[in-house]
This record gives sequence, structure tokens and C-alpha cells, in this order.
Amino acid sequence: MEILEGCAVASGTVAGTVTVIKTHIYQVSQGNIKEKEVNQQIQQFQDAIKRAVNEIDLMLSYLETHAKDEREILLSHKQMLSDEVFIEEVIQIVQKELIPADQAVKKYIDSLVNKINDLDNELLIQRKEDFEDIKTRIIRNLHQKELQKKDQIPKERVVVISEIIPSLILTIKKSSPLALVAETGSLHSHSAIIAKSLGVPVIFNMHHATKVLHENAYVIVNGSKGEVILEPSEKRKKEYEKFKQHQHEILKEKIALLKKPITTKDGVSIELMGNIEFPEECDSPEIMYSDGIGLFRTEFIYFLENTFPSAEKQAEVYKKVISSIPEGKPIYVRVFDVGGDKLQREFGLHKEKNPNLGCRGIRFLLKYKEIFRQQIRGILFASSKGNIKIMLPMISSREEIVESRKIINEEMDFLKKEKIPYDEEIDLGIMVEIPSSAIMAHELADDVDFFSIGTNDLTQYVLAADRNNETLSDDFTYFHPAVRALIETVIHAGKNKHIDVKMCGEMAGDPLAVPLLLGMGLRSFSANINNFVEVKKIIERYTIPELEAFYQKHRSASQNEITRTLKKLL
Amino acid sequence: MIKKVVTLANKLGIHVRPASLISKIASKYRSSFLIRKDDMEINGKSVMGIMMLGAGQGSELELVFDGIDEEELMEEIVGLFEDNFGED
Repeated sequence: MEILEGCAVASGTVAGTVTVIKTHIYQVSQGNIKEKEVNQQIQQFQDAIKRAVNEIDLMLSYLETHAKDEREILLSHKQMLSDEVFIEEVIQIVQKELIPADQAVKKYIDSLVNKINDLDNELLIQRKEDFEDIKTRIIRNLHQKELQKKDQIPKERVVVISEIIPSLILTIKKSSPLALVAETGSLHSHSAIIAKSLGVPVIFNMHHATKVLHENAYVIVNGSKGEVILEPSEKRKKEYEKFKQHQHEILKEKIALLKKPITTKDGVSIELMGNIEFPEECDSPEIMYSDGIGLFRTEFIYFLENTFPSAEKQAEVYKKVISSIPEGKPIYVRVFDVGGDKLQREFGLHKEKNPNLGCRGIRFLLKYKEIFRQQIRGILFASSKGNIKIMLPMISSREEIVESRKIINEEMDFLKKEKIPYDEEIDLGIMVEIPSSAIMAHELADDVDFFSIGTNDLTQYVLAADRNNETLSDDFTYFHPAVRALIETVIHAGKNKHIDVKMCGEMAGDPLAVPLLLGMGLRSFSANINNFVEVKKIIERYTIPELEAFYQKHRSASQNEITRTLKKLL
Repeated sequence: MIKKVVTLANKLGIHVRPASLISKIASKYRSSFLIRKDDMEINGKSVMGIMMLGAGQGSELELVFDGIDEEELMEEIVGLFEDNFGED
């Protein structure tokens, strides 16, 4: 028996056999290839080049003519990818040195970059980034193809993997994994969010996992502890068996609880909705019996194919969600929140020095309007079939709402002309996740139908703490009094202006935070389904007046004081 | 073999657009085409190679053409340089 520790991403306990996926995504493979593998490597390299060029062509078709700089960069990357001399030289390296194509690509491009470093020529310094981009793009395409070949991941296994990217999680999802364990990955990354939606235990950052956990090893994965037990003792196995029997009873109880309408102890009804990433998640009992979907993240639509699909293709996704949940329940669709940490590598546009303060969310969509239009049109196509709402991410000022509204109206006119039915009264709301919009909530309330507070970004921006920075984890908390004060401002603004205020950030699903938020006046929560049962139990435990009194009493408490007091309350 | 020395006159030097123009034309011919700058020598049929020159306005380049259609290749390439690649 051996116990390995990592970083807990999604809870749950499961036992099963391991399958190891060693393919690296950005990291190149090691060692040599055999003579007879040369042709296959060359073929794969040429295919990867083709796919990389296709990716760029698709991006170019989305970029409007005014995005001249980006087009120029992409066009130049396309020229570089089509460089016959480069392709020929890489092929020769593969043939002569008997190394795999990814190594050969790295070798060739690194040698160019090294030359640039030696030359100290200013014109060339900018080129370095272009060369690095090309390299990453080809290597990713090479590896993604290999992964698709690895589509035959055995079903129902504990999948152990070295590197993680969103599209890979989607590939793994198809194999109905029992659990996911990765050697790398950050707790707050986009990969973590997608991994959570697998609905199985997930552990990141478990060092040497692919080396220690061998193929077909029997393990018990404890997602809540971030722990994997390799070849467990008889005692541990028995404990697990007992646990499993309990689970069945717990499930029955859970469904009974989920079916009950949610109210506080004094009968105030509270809305509890679910956050989802994939339409398939609607099948869970949590979503079936909830008040709707408070956050439908749509980025997966992009990550699936590494491009933005057409309105028609997107409409199918939205319709699928509508038909998967009980009729009439609301679906809050958050339009693409891309840019920032999520697209840096995949997009091939300008690399931003500070992507989280850069062109992401609505800024990205208003810059690349065609992408925005296609998504709005896709949502409108589906809007006649159910209760769908549009939610704009990263709003920082009124102008962005006005400009977005204009585009939505234009798309509505288009549908009207085409005689396609759509919801003329479709609700438009914003994510309140930038301090400026929280501060201005009172004014912005006049322009929208609802607010939804996004606590992850709000906290990151208020506290100037990067959420991907692992060394900062302890300082990054929505219990900070400044974050609480802003949330209160937003709730009050909504109340005064009679618009709904929701919360869909991680805080809304944190059992510790729920009593605090109820005391502040929040009545609508949208949480990760993993936390539903606990959140519901907590809501039922208290009366509104007692939580209001609690909130007022501890209003100025520091983040540490408030968490301590809340822990005592629970 | 023909050797020719040219001086870059356009403001931006050889950036990506001229580089791809040069390589595209050079690739049509069977003759080899090398570009030398200082102590660097690159294949003129490679966009990446040409970009590596880091050639700015005023740079002196030696063009080396070698093969059965070297004459025509030289004329077309030198024409490109004289025309500043159609830029200012």
C-alpha cells in the first residue's frame, strides 16, 4: 500500500483500475524512433501543419477587416507554416536523426531562436515570439492528433495523466472515467472548472503520478482529500465496500431532499440553480430538480474544436440544454468569456502581458463582433423553444451594455426578416465581476434585466490577486471585507431598482458563505452541482431575521474573523 | 553562378510580407538562391530564413543565384528589391 497526495479539485471516493495517458501536449517526447516509423512521423507532421493552417484560416474568417494587426500576424504565421524549406528540413531531421516529429520541430525552431538570441538585433526580438507561437501550434496539433488516436481510452478507469488542457478533458470524458488524476494543473484554472464538471473525483498536481501509478494498478481515489491509495490493504478495501453501500442509501436520501422546494426555516423561498459547462450535465438529479441553470458556460463550444462554430451549430447546443431540463425553467447563457488565461496559447493572436487585465469577455466580443453575432444569433435561434437569457461577462461600463444591446437588436431584426421565431422579450443581464460595475451597479441597473455576481473574478480584481498564482491561494478569498462590501452594494442596487440579483461564482456554492449571503439579502444562488445538497441543508437551517442580525453584527469583521465566526455558526 | 549586392531602401526592411514574396518567387525556379548578410547565409526560398536576416532599412545583402534558370530568377528578385516590394 502506498498513499499519494495531490490537490483536491472535485470530491467523491471511488475504487478502480488505473489507465495512464503519457502523451504530452506542449512538452515534446523523448528518445528515438525506429526506421520503419519514419514515414508515419513525417505523415503526422504534414497533417499537423495542415491542421495548423486550417486553424488559422478559420480564425482569419472570423476576424473583421479592421483587426488589421491581428490579421497580419496570423497571415505571417500561415506563411511560416507553409515554408517549404522549413518542412523539408524538419523531415530531414526526422529521417537522419531518427527522432519523432515533435522533437524535430522543436530542434529546428529552437535553433532559429537561439540564433536570434546571439544576434542582438532589435528587429528580430519580435520575431522570436512568432517562432515560439508556430512551434507551440504545430506541437499541439501533433499531440492532439495522437490523442484522438488514443480515443480508445479504456472505459470506466481511473485516468492518470501528465499534462492537462480543456480539450483533452473532453476526450477523456467520452471514456466515462471513474476519476481523473493529473500530475500538473492549477486549482483555479479553466481545466479545473471543466474537470469538476466530469462529476467524478478529480485530483491535480499529484507529482510523479504517471510513474508511480502503473497501468492496471488497483487504487482508491479520495477526491475530497486529494489522495490516491495504491494497492490498498484489506482493511482499506473493506472500508471502501462499506462506504459504497452507504452511498446507495445516501443517493436515495439525496433525491428526496432535492425534490423538496427550497425555503429557509421561516419559509422564505430561495432560488437554487446549477452551473453547467456541458449539456450532458443536465441529466444529473441536482439539475433535474433545481430551479434552472444559473450559469451555462459556453467556452467548451470553442475548446471542442479549437474554433468558434456557426450560429446554427451553436443553436443545437442551446436547444439540447433546453430540452434536457423541465419546461420553462430558466437558462442563463453566459456568452464566450474568452481571452485572458483561457486562450493565450490556442488563439495565436497578440500575446498579452497581462491577459486578465486585457482583451477578454465582452471586450473581446465587441472587438471581434462576428464571433459575438454568431453566438447571439445561435441563442436567439433557440430562444423560441425555452426560457433562455443572455448574460454578458466582464462588463466594466455602461457603453459596453449599450453596444451589446445594439448588436442583439440587429440580430433580432435579421431573424424577423428571415421569419425565424425568437423570444422578443429575451432577458439581458450582466456578470458583475469587475469592481467598476459593482460600484456603479445602481446606474447599470437601468440598462439590464438582471445582475449575476461572479465572485472569482470580482475577488481577483478587488484584491489584485491572480487566482492562478498558487502561492497566493490564502490571500485570495471572497470573505475579504472589501469583496463583501461590493457584493452588498450590488444586492442593494438590485433591490432598489427592482431587478434580480443572482450569484453564480464559487462563493454561491460555498456552505460557509451561504448564511452570510442570505443575511446580506441574496435570494438566488447558482452553484456547482457537487455542493447542492450541503447548500440546501444550510438554507433550511436558519431564519432570515437571525442571519440578517448575524450579518449586521459582523459586518466589519476581517476575512479571518468572519470565517472563524461562520464556522462556529455552522 | 551570379552574385548581386543590393541595399534595402524600404522603411520597414524585410518583414514578413516581403519575405513571403521573395520566397514565393524563388520557389518557382529550379536554381538555388542564397542571401548573405554579415556572416549569415540563408536559403532565399524559406520565409523563416529570410525573416532570420533581421534586415532593416539600409542593410546590404548579397544575393547568390546558381542553376539553370539563374538569370531569370535574378532578374525577378532584383526587380522586387528595386521596387521596394511595392512599399514606400
